[in-house]
Amino acid sequence: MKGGKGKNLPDEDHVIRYVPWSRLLKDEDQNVLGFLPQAFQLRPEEEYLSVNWIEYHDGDRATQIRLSVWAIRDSFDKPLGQKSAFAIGNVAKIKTTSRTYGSRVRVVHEPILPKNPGHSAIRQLPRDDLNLLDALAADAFTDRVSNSDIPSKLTEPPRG
Amino acid sequence: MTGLIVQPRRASIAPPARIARELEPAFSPEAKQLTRLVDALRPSTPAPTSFDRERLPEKALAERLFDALAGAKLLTASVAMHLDRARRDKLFHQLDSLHDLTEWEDGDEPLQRSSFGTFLKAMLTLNPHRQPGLGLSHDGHLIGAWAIDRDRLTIEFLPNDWVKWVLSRYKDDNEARRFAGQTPVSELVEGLAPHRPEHWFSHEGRQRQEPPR
Amino acid sequence: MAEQPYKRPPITEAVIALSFGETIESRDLDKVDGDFGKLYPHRQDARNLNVEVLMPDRPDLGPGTAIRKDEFGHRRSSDDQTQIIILWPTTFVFSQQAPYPGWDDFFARFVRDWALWKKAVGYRKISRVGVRYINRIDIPITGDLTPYEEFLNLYPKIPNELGPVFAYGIQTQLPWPEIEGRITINSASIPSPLLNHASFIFDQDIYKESNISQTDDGLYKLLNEIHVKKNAVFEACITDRARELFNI
Repeated sequence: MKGGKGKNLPDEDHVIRYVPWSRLLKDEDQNVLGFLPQAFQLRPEEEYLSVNWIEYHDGDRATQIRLSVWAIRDSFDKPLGQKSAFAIGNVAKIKTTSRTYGSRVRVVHEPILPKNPGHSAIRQLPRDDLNLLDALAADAFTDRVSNSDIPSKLTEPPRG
Repeated sequence: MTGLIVQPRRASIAPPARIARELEPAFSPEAKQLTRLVDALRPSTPAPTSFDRERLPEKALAERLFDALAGAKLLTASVAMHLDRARRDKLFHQLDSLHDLTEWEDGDEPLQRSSFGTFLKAMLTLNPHRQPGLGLSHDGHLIGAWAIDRDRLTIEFLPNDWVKWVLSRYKDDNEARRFAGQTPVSELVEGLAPHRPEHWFSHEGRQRQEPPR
Repeated sequence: MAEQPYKRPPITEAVIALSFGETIESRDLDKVDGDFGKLYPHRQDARNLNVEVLMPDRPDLGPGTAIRKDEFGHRRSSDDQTQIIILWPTTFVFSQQAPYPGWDDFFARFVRDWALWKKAVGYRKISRVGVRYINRIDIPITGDLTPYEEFLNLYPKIPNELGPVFAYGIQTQLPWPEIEGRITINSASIPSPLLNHASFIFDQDIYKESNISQTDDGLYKLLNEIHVKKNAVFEACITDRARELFNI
């Protein structure tokens, strides 16, 4: 298995995080523009920000993203909302952005077996630093994939 | 002329009219009835049709979402005379979509009535030409956000008339200048003023906005 | 077009409540509740519980309780929560939240719903007709004192020696002999839902409890008379400065 529990993710790699509709940045006409800072805020009971390591999976980028999304979907008890999305950020950028705001976060591999082997964590993230959260939303997690753009496992054509 | 003393911004509301418990035996039934009537008129007039219900944790999620939406819409009605119909309808559409059961994130709290009250106060004071996009924090606080190109303004409306905001503006060096604040909603205008919020609130700003990606 | 003298009428809620001399069976109430489903798609249970605590005769005894009233009803509302009806066993409550659409639209909706109610439940003797309008007048604050006397004609008269007030509340009951009715006015200062404003409630409840016409025409005539009176009372209790606020 790639990585290993507690191992830092390589700086050149990327993580992906599920963002529900309510935490997407939208304009007044409900067009999605990005992510709200609160999409990266820890809940009171959380010790780390849950993400998935995209490069844990083999294949081209699209395949890696698709497999990551499938793993995230499998980790939820119910289907994810059609209007939800996934935020993608580079590990190095996440760390440098956090350092800019006085925090040293760690992005570590924390597999949840068997369903989510690519699961990872952003640890040591401050709880309520709105400047940092906004910076993560705007400058670190710079790519977005809509949940509706990723087919379900069942609709994926079988490989020949 | 007598007049009403304006309460200091951070003062609590005027004390209720009720008679001190130890003095009650001394007062006539009519006096007691009058104080009950006065207290019944605060903080909001109890109409025979609208009523607050205790949120019971055992309630099904759909019912909790409905109660939150209904509460917000009733609260909007209390200031509807100050809102355009189109603006109100757009707001309700946004609130409905935030409480869509199929998009609901387990563990989240529905919109807190107190947070929505803060939002209404802020919007009626700021009176932005551009309405915010809306979101909801996991503990039920309404979030309003504006974006022009990469520049963003996000305001989280907390209970009890407080707000938490953060804004970022990008200069030619492509680096963000970020400012954040947490103040009573009565000081929001003052807090945002140095950062020229009309950049986000005006329609001229919107025309410069890049299309959604 | 609905008659409406003000661009932004300060009405927060308008209510017509009809009380009946007999209790409506729950199955009839359930039926009429179902009949209103298309007009008011959202439904909630309503319960009116009135409990009396009984003081014990001796200090070693605990207090007792007696349930004086425990009635169940149906509350129905439109999607935007501005149009509401509540169906109680002895009362039909018909409500409009702000924005107030004007008497013509409000009354037309009542006529429609009253017809539906009667079709489902049948004739029931009306024992009380009440119309209640709750207004909130929001006055922009321009200094340390808000001179409510410049906006309202109904307020407590306080000796100048006592100075300005933090808050007030008054109730006035007036006879209306022309229809054998009564007018109750509650007026008070309240915390404002707006920043930089002082707000005042003007709550008018006009009702008749005797010799009520039981025909539709008689009921509608009475409601229209009450509406005219309500307007006259309201206009008498506000000043031109208040009227300016309603047209901003």
